[in-house]
Amino acid sequence: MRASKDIAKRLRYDRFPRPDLFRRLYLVVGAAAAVAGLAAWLLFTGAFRQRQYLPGPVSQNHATFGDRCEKCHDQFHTVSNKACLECHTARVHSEFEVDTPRCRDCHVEHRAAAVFLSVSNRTCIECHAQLTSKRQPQALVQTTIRSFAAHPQFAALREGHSDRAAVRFNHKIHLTSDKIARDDKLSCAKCHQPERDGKYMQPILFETHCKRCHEQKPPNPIGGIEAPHKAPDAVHDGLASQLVVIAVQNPEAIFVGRESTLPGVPPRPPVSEARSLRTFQDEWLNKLETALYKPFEDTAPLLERNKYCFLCHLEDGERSAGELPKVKETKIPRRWLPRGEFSHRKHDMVACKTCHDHVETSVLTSDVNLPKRELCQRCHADDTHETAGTSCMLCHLYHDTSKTPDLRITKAKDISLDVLTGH
Amino acid sequence: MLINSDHARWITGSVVVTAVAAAGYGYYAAASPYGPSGGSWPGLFFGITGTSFMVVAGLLSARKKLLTRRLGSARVWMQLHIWLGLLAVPFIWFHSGFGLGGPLTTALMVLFYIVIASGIFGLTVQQFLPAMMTARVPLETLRSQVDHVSAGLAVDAYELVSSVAGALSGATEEQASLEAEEQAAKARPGNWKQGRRLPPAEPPLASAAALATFYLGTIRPYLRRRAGVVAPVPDFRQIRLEATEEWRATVEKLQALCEESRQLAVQVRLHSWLHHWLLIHAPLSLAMFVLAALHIVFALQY
Amino acid sequence: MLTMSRRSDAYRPDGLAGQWLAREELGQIEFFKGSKRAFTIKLNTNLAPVANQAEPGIKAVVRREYQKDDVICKAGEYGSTAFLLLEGTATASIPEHSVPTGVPGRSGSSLARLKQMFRRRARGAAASEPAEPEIGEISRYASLSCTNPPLPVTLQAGDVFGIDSCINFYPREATVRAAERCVVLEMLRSVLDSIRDAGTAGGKVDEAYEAAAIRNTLYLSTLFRDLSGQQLDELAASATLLTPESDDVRNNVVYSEGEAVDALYLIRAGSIKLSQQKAGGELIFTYLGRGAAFGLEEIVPTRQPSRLLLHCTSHPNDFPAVAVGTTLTLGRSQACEIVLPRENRAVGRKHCRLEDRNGDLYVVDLGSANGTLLNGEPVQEAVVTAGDRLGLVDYTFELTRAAVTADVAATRFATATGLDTFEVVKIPSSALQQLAQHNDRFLASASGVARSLDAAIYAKGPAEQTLTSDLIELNLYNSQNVLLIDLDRCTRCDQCVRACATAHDGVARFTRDGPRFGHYLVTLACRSCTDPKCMVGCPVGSIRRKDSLEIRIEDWCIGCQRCANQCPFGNINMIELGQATAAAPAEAPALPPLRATVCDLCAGYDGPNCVYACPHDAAIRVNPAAFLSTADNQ
Repeated sequence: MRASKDIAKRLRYDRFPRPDLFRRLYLVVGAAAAVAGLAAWLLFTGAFRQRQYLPGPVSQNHATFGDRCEKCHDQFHTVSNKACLECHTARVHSEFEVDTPRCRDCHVEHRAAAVFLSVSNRTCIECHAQLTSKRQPQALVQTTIRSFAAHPQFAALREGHSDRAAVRFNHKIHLTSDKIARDDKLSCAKCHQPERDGKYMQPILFETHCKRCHEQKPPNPIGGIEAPHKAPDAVHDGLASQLVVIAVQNPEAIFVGRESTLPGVPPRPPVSEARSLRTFQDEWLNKLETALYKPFEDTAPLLERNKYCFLCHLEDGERSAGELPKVKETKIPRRWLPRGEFSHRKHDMVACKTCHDHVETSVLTSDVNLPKRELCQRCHADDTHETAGTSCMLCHLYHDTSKTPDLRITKAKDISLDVLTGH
Repeated sequence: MLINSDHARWITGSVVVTAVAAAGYGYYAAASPYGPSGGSWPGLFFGITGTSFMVVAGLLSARKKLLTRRLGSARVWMQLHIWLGLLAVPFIWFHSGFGLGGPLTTALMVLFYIVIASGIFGLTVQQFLPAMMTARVPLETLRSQVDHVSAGLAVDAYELVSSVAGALSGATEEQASLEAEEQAAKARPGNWKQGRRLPPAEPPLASAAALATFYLGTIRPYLRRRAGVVAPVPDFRQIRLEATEEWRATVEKLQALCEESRQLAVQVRLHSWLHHWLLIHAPLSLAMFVLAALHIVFALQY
Repeated sequence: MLTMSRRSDAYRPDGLAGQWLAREELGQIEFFKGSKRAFTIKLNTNLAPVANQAEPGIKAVVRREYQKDDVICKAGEYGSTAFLLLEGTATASIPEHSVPTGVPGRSGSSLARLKQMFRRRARGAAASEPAEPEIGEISRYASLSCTNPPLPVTLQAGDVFGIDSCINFYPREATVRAAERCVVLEMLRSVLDSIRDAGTAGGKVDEAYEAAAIRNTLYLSTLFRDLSGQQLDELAASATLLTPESDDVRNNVVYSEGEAVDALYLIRAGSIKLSQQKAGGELIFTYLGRGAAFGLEEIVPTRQPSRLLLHCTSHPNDFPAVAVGTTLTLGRSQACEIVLPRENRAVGRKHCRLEDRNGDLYVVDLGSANGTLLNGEPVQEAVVTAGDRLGLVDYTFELTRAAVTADVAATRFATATGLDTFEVVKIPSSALQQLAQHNDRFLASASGVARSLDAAIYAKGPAEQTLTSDLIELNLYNSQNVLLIDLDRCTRCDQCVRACATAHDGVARFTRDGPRFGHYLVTLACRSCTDPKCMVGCPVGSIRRKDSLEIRIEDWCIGCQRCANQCPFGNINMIELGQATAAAPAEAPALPPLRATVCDLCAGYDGPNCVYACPHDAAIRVNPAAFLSTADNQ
């Protein structure tokens, strides 16, 4: 064991332990490293371009901004709605919403190029999982929607809802009746044609789709009289003018008749015994309108009944004698799913009957022939590999739905508002 | 610092804090629609807490400048440094959502990892190197004095050799040192560190010529080698065989000197393992703080 | 240029408070007239200049005035000065209890304890002042306690007091109070040494000191605490004070192995080594320090059972005196060791028993009809000792102690050698034997001490013996406050040295190197020795203990390097301070003056800075013997 004093003798006493080379070195190296590293980073990576401070890439849509971060970012403030609204219009989602999220809450930038576009379902679920609304009374819409699997049944298909159009139409007869001639057999596409954008079907119009079989030519010996497909007043006036035209064009046939010129050919009596045009008109108006306005329950043969107005239309109120009937407004619903978007073209690969599977058995107008939600869920499922997608955005729009051209028709009078409110 | 049962409180505290934070983060990450983000409120919370941990940990070096002020003992500060520094890691992970972000934040993260890794390396090394040094270098001295002591060893060796073999011509530095010692002793008599030196043998022992050769050829270069070069002690077996009665003891002493020189080299090497990691840890942590400040400013700016 | 700056105001100003005397004035005083020449030579060195300061007088001695009832010095205080009473009278009294002032710098100071959250677990035995004075192997500064204080002593003009603290640097034993207006000279050791070396005055001082020393030692000794004042005074009369200069002492040996046993010794100052010469060398048993008694193990028969004699006082002719061995049964039955006559039916067949339980003698009544009386009181079971009387109906037995000299070891078991200077009170064994025969309690406590010494010193296991040798080899027995560095934790970062330097104007007071004890490094830092060699012979009295264990080197140090040379561990360093003086000789290059520096336990701080600054919990300041002997610190 070395003695204490021997150890002490060997050492050169240091008054103050001078920081040795190592210590002095590391202070210098430290400062130098920090500065050098910073400088290198600034210079060589072009950090004066603001790009260096990105937390993630800019989405493709906004790539045109390049380095001009100030387009969206205001110094030291979070990105405000104002910046987005400079270019984009986005109206309120619902007048009843309790609080409105900011643009950036759903449209997240600086993640990946594609993320920006695909608004995640979860942003919808943030509110719709536990929805509170200002609507009074509370919305009957389901307030806890977490996924498409939990999506409520489409409103039109719920209990108590039906097609309230004031017409009579029987899909079964039209599609499957053997009374229709082979050449005239009907299929879905014969009446239902998609609009130009492929989304919804064009409205059914009499002139386009029904007239061929249901032409309004009441039986008359003169021929060439056709009732216009209009309200009874207009029909009256139309028939009247047509009668006048016929009378003027065929006066002898109508008023005089033809004598028998050949043996065995009976003479033709005059069509009308009337001695004046007016009387003829009244007489024949009466006959024609009686024929036209026969009630639905009439037991005439089909071909005849085919021409009756009330085969399809419904009479409004009681008709007193001598008066023209009133016909109810048909109010055929144009859009069945007003809150969602649907594109028939995107479903081209599916046959009509696959989704509208009950149409061929539908006899009542009030049948709603839409596919149920469960049917959509077969392809738009969460848990299969081949899902067609369950993003809320596939069907629903967030921003003001009244911008959708189709839905301008919500204001039109021939939409069944019942569908929307459920009352 | 040795991690032992004194640290039990710190360890359990850190584990508990990390577990709680992880639970919070897990919940937050699952609940956020687009995944966790550093700018959201929970993300900011993690970022701020993690950064403040790092700042407090970094204050250790400031504390060391004011050692005599009673601001908490160095021991406690070191414990704070270690455990808060380690705690910063999960918090920064939670803040970043386990991602690297853009260029600035990637650079920052890289620096952070390097600083943490070097710190953990230093801590690991401190667990066993001190004991290793104690065991392997019984003749340890102060690192700052190694050069002085090594020079002293060389002078001692020359003194021993010249006391039997006479003054040697190939040892000018040692002779100059001895001269200087004498002068200093004259100037300051009574210096307790000044021992009496053996004078060179007059006349030199003839039998000691072999020793002189061995000294000049082997021992002297060995003792004068660069600090930190660990080389085995020269082989004394041959010279011991030739040692006569007069200088046998001298040979043993010379061997002891060589052994001491070897041990000092081992000490230098172990010392650098024990300390040089700081050259990475401290400067890079400075750089990291600079980048962190930049990151904070720019993240807030945007 | 560095200067030693002042510490804070918590201390008295540097030097002694009082009026400095000019050299001429000092020479006028009767006391100093004796041998002026020797005196003058010494005093010359006291006038060493400090740069840029005029010297009004000798710094090592001041004059002071006290009024009635002022305290001149207090028992338990550390001090480094002696006093000469010039005018007036004073009384010196030893209080019953006094505790020396706390030791700064040891781990676990009171302020550190306040900060609970920064406190670490105490490692090993915390160094604390023992409440009970211990007569132990390694010396400690036991608190002084005197159950039987002597009468106060009146000091007259011309008396010198306080010498013990001045020379030996122990806490003061007595409180001295001025009885009327006094004028006192307070002096440092250098001046006192001059007086003692100087002749007649010195001789008187020494005599007075010796008498007082013996008396105080006996009164303060726990060994003699059961004795009355008169007995103590008798002992004091027969006792002598041994120092290395005494005639009885040659080569510092107090007694040698094999010598006849003739005295008991009490250590007053210094250390005594007990050793035996073995075939291969010297086996050192231990070192004993102040307060320890030695040399009594041969006097007191510890290895033999207590020799009590039982003899019958009522019927002395019927029963011989019987030595009480292990068990003695008394009764009518033949099976008893002491058979009482059968006719006496009142005595039971087995009446009572005397038995030895762990060294104590018990009398147990064995269900006798008429009971056993102890000193007149009926008793079932009780301790008996010499002087007690047992009554069995009409038989009375008395216990007396056998003459002690019968079976005593006649020669010394070990050699007792003093280290450097020592003061030992020698009490002849004849005086002791008289005492022992009449005072059982003294014998009991002496036996106890002897037994513990026996076990502690001579009957050590090998592990303890190794520890002792290690402590001895590193001279740790003499140290009270050592800076240990745990080498398994120390990363050699030098923060401790840096902090020390910061706390002391850039001059580090210790070196982080030194010998090793196991895995601890015993640093080259002042160890606060019980008997500091550094303070002996300082020509200007600038190195001293001021208020507690810490050593101060005042700024009139002249850099003579004596303390640095004398410190056996090399803990005092000389540094160059200031500019070279103008008065340097022409041929030698001008060198700045030297000053000695030493660790002062960071007296102005609430704890040592080295320990405070170690980030790895490796530095501790402890009493080494206590710390290193606990098993988990090996």
